[in-house]
Amino acid sequence: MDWIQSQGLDSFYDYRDTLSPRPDAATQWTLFDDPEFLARHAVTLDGERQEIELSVPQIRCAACTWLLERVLSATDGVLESHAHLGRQTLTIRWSQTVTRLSDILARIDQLGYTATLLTDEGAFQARKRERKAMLKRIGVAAIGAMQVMMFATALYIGDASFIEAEQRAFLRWVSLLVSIPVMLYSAQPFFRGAYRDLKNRTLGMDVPVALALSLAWSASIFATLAGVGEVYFDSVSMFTLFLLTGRYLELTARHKVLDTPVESRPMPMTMSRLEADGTIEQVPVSSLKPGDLVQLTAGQQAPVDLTLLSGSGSVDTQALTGEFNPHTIEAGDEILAGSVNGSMTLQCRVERIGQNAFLGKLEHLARQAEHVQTPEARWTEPLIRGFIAAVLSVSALTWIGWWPVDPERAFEYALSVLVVTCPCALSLAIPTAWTVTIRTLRQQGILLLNPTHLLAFAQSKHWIFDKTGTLTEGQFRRFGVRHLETSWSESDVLACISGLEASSPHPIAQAFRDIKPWPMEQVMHHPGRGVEGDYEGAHYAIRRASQDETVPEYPDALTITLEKNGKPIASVALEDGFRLNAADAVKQLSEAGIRITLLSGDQDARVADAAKALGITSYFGEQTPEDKLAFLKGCDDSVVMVGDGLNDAPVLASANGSVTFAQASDLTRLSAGSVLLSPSLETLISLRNTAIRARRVIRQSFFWVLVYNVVAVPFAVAGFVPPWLAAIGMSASSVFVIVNALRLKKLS
Amino acid sequence: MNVIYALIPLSIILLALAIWAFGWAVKSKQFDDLDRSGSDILFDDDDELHKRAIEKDRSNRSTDD
Repeated sequence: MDWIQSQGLDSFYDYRDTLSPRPDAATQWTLFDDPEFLARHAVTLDGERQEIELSVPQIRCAACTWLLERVLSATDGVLESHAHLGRQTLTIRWSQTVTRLSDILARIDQLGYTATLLTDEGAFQARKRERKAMLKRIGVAAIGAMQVMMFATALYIGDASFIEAEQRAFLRWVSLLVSIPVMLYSAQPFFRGAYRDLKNRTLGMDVPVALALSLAWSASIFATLAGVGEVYFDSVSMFTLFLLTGRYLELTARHKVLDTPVESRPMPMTMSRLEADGTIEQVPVSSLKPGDLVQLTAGQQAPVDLTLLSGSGSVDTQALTGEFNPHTIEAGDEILAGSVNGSMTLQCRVERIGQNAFLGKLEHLARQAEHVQTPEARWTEPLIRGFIAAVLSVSALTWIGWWPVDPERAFEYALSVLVVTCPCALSLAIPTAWTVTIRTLRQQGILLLNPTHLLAFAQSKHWIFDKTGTLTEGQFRRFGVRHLETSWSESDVLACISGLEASSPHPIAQAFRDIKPWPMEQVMHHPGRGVEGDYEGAHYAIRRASQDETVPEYPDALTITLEKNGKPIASVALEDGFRLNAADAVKQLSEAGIRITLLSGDQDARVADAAKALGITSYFGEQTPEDKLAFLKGCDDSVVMVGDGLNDAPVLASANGSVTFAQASDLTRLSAGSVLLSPSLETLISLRNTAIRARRVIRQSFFWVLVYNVVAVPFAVAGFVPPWLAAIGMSASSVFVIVNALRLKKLS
Repeated sequence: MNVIYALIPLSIILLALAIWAFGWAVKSKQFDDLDRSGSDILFDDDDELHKRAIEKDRSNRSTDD
């Protein structure tokens, strides 16, 4: 604001109209004050204090996050706020007695940041529109820049071969004409970003870009009108094109991750609610209130926290914990949101809804852990701000220094400094390196969600693994059969079990899905105890094997026994097998000098077995999510966490680098820095190698920026670099670092 | 050299056309799924099996008549 006033442009404030509240602003945000809406999307911390996380697609750079947090911290009633660059979201904690959420949102809307609900159709569409708009800008910039370069070539060659003054003026005029759409349309994001930064007295990447573009362009227009002096239409057009392309690459990489379809089990949208008059009605989950009586049907996932009212049942919390032993519940027990009903229809009462339900709380915990800033972010943000401040002041000093000596050339020299030092290597090469790395990883079956985790994958000397679902497949397989009644063939035993388990949602049943089942009648499931049913007049049952019925080769495996009319027929040992290449991956990591720790919620004995089989010496069983988090906090060095359960989400979010699997729940995947799509653990090695290469290229880029500026700035300040050379130097430097970054593609 | 006074305005008209065409391409989702476009070329329209199936279908119909 001061800057605009210092430039004598105060009347700008008379002309602009964007700050005046939009006509629909009042109604647009009132939804956010609706108590029902808040119960669903916000977390109540205590009484009046609430917290909500919203998507703000306009958060583009570290400066934006800084700005939003600054503005919100100055707003009455806002207790805390955090703008998240990676996810482009904003978390606001506010006091309901002091202010309304709608007022806060209207306020940031005036800054040019529009908040929307997370992960909905709206956000997806918004991303699509953003990409299209950007692509159009690039198209205009590319076509315009090519044409202007052609005219510029004619002018340069013409200068040497005595072009007629009239034709020279004509070429300049058409260059000006073609550069108009490039400047006013394509370069708009830079001007908008710079305007926002300046209005809020901060420095972002856009400030020197917009300054260089506007100065060079207005000087060129002046030169064209006056017929004397240099024109830089080619430089500004190319500059715009380069910068836009870099931004677009970064944008698409980020969007691709966000848009990746979610294939995990969808939460039910409606539930059967028991009305006061005794009828049962299907109502949307969003209209459920604590105290409502509902039915949880067989196989349905509980969308809210429930209490079982009568009878008993079995729920599977695999989606929550990653461990799949389903447990039996009695009347009065709680069914946490995210649990799947493994028995018949259950009569329940709604306890907690929305983000106050277990799933919402856990998600909240994971987000909180993630909001703790990494040490890297703390020093890179001021570094970039400092760099830009230095560029602007050196450029201004150049002008001041040259003014008394050569007033005609002072502007040109200052412009050269501004153009030659543009932080392109930082604003192009690093996103490019990230984009290529994200792409490379993607081809290897790895989704990188948080680029800052890349550093940890490259340099962490300590990797922590979860067991079930991570080192193992998280699925029961048949390991061995022991015949207790020799007249039965193995295929008959398996077909009989398959028949009994055919209708069961229990994970054990999964181990028999490949066998053609016998058509059983009168099948009864007894949650936690077994299954029984009839076939051809005989009564069959499955129960847990007793101590002396286990399969000798697998004494510790989960073993079930098939009975016919109460007489044991055979036992089947079921085990959760190791993932593809689990041992290989562990061995390769160990050979690279990495310490490996196994942390599992499973029983001690099973964890010890798994660790021994894989050659892991450091292992801990029966770990709760809090234990895991405490273990992580106890580690001094940078740590990579590999896990898959919802209970791993907080640990994944607070580790320096984290990996999860495609089968994990949404929350777990959101908490992790990366997701392995391939079931093979060999991909972990590719992940590490790619990360090491990416780190090398990013370091090279930083080094290049340093060397280039140290060499180029003194020459530019001394007036040895005309703006066209500065633009070429800048472009060459950008191309150099981008090509270097693209080399990552080849190396893989 | 005076020919540039005619040719350059002409090229600018072509330029405007090119920008319009690009805008149309973006709008009609030509660039929405670049991952797939590369492999589109591998999907033959005149796949032998497919062709034969169509022909068979046609001949079946003609015998029906």
